[in-house]
Amino acid sequence: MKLKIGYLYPDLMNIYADRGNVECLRRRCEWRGIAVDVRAITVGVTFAPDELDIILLGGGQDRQQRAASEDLQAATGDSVRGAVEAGAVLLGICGGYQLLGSAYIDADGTELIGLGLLDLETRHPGFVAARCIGNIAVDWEGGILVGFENHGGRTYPGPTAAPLGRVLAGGGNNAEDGTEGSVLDRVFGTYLHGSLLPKNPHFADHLLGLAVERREAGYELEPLDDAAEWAAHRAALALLGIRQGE
Amino acid sequence: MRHAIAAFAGKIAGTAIRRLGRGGGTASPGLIAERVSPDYLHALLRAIPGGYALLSGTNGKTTSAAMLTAILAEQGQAVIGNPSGSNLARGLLSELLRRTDWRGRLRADPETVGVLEVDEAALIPLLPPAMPRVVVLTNLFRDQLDRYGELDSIARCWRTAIGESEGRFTLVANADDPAVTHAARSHRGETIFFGIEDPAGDGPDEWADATLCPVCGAALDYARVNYSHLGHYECPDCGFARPRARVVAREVERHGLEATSFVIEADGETLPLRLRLPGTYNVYNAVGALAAAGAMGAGGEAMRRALEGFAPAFGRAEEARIDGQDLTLLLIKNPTGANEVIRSLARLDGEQDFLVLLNDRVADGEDVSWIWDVHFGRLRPRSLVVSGRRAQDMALRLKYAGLKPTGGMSTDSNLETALDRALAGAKGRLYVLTTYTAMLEFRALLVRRGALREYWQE
Ligand SMILES: [Zn+2]
Repeated sequence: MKLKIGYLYPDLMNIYADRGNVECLRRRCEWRGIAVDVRAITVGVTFAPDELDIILLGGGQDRQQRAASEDLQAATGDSVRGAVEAGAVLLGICGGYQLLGSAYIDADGTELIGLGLLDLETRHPGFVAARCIGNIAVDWEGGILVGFENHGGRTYPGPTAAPLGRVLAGGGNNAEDGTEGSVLDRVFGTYLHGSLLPKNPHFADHLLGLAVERREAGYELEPLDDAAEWAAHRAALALLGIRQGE
Repeated sequence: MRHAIAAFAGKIAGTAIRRLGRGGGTASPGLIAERVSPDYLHALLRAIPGGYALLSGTNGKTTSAAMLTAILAEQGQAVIGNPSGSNLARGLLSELLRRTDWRGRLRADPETVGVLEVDEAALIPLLPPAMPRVVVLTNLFRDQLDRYGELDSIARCWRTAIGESEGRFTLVANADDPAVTHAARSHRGETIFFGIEDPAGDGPDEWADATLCPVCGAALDYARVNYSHLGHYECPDCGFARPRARVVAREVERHGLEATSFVIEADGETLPLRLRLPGTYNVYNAVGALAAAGAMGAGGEAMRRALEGFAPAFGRAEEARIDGQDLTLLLIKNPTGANEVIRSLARLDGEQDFLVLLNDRVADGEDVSWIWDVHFGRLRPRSLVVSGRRAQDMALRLKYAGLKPTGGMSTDSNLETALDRALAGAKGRLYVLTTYTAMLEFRALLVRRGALREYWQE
């Protein structure tokens, strides 16, 4: 088995160390003897629809996010859409999540066009409004997810959007409706940093499972010793006063 | 009169806190006085007889301030400072309150000068009203984003506050940091830029963050990267570029974790220096401190003597000895600083023993994501113990960094037993990598065990 991970805009969209997610997927493949290749996709880079198995897009500051949005309206964006249609897994976090929706209206009122892969729109209420900052826990169908959110923008799901989960503690999409993130088939968006995947090995393996299944039907991921992962997961939950087994 | 009440309230709080043994009382008295009279801090600062310097930026302000203090003290000047690194407005106020009489007036000999480090955000409201003589801007890195929102907004606010100050102070600014120079360009008074001309560099990191032009947003071209986004840059679109630096370090040579040597050049004069501190970041601290010392009227000989005799600042490569075991405290508080510390450690021969402490209190940054941007995989640990409030997160990070210490790795949330474990496992010097509040707790533990003195008694 061999997987290829595309890391979108590592030079623009990594303000909250979302590269920990890349590191996590790489190691979890290596430990299972799955060959893995990580390719950095910077501005202007294109790729074939079946080239990448998993695409990761992290968070950036407004100015960097603007540069990413512009590039996603050009050839790189077509590559991403092509890969998703061909069955690649896509995970967008924070600013990257916002760019998976139709638009992000930033603090200055400028509209950034998104990829339109998820039915949602994000609006920044301006610098006078409080940012959503802090530890967060989310009830996802595969278990609880823990992380840290830090966003000014509020994301409003459209009628066809399905949330990734319900907020147990924290702000989530918009600090109003109790939803967090969004999912459509193999496209995932969330506000959770932390980094997200190392502390949520069930979610990391969910993404890897979708990717290996696409390459080889019936392929099962070997279980790993995740004691350290769950210890960090439980410690993060304890900070929020949530006690929980594995 | 309100100042006297503020001083009185603050002093009582400070004495009570120290008596209760709850640390040095470095912030709370200021907090109380600040509530009573918010402009009191400005008045006290303006009352420092010889004027004062404010040092701000993400990294290096504590060390730069300690260097500047050492130079001025070498010339025989009395210096008021905040060496404990308590650098929010209330922390500055607490420091100054300790020097007031019961009527709230500053007690200071004539000629006394101030050298105060101040948090990046806390600098902004101080600039116009508090009338510093010199302002030093070291750099702007990603740090504690959960507290400040985003970096760009700090840079924007610096620029505005500097512009509104109408050039009443001398600005000492790092020419190698585009965010700093852009903010500095709004200054109407004298600006002294400092920088490094030829470092013993390692080149940029893989996947380094792109630095965008603060004027037009294009990606900057770098002729040289000294570290992170610091270097010699130029915008291909609008012509924004590194200004010529007046005080520069040349011929930088590294000597492991122990020392760095370089030649300072300013206004045609040269000064060879050997600093007992590692890393490019400490060369920046030294050049910045020298440029500031020049602006405060110091001479070259005092600069050389003070810097060559300079001992590391509080918690920065500080050394101690406990139960016959040598240890070195290394503060890590953001990816850039931590990566520089790790570069220096990676140059040591053989394997090392480590104790790594991660806290997530407000002063550390409540978001611990940043540890995933630190290249811990470059360490060669023989033994490794992890502790702190977020010990589990750090242990996980080190697991994914692929560290497999020959002497084993363990996690222990209790600092005291973690230290015992680390001491038992160490064969050589124990390197303690720690975030800010964990460093305070660890230092207090060393004091209790008689390995260090309390810093407010030093
Ligand atoms: Zn430009």
